[in-house]
Amino acid sequence: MNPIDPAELSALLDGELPPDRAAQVRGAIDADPALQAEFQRLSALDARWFAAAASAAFQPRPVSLTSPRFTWPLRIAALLSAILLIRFVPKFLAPSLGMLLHFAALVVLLAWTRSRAISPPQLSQIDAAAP
Amino acid sequence: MSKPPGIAAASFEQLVSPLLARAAGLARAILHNHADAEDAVQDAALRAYRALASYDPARSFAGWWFAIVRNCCRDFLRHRQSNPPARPVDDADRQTPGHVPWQELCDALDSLSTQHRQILQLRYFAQCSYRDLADALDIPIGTVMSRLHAARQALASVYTQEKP
Repeated sequence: MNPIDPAELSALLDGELPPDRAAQVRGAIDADPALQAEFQRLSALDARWFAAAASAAFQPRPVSLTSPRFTWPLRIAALLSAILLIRFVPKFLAPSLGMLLHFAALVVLLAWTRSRAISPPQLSQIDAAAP
Repeated sequence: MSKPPGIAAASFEQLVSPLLARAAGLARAILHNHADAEDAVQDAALRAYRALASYDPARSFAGWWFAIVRNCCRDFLRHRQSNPPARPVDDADRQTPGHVPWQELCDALDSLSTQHRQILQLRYFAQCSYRDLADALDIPIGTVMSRLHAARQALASVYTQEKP
């Protein structure tokens, strides 16, 4: 049997050793009181640290990724709309070329804003790798 | 940045949701402040969502996610250094009355080297597996094993002194 690397005690504790090696390390621990004491010490500390760390966890407020956000392009579009509406209010009942340009500019800006917004990502690949 | 076509945001939320409480704990351990930890997790979620196209499915999702959480916390700390708040930022958590085990653990971690502190924070607060740790820290699994053991020994010496 290969000699026991002290780091393997940690790995055994964490359940991260391959089964055959884990069996060898367990056997070595059973046969060696010093290793046994060290493993027990590590186990006790590990449990204590996990318990302590668990007391820090809390459920944060729900993460929202889909809420509409007032992005800069939207702000500019809103400002332009306001300016142009004020400018062309008298002609509102008789649409002019200016009004048409205004609406065309709005459509372009909103389309651009939408293209810059967060688009749904591809998660199918992730699902396969997710723990 | 081009993004692949894909599924609804709700699916991303489902994937990240089980990791949120641990992410909050990790952020709290790094920032020592509940409110900042909550903001950091929100930022991390948004950042992860935006960067999803760059995620490599060969890596563990948890490792990738917790690396982003750590980066967000680091940004918070940098921001704090350049914009010191009028009041101490850790008031909220530090003034919690009574015995607070995670703060005692953090105090012990603070006395360790950066490498040891990082790997122990990810192991205990984020409950990362070795594969998650390897991906989060961008180191081989063998290095995770040896570094984690060395970090534990270092923490044991400090923690035992503080908590006989």
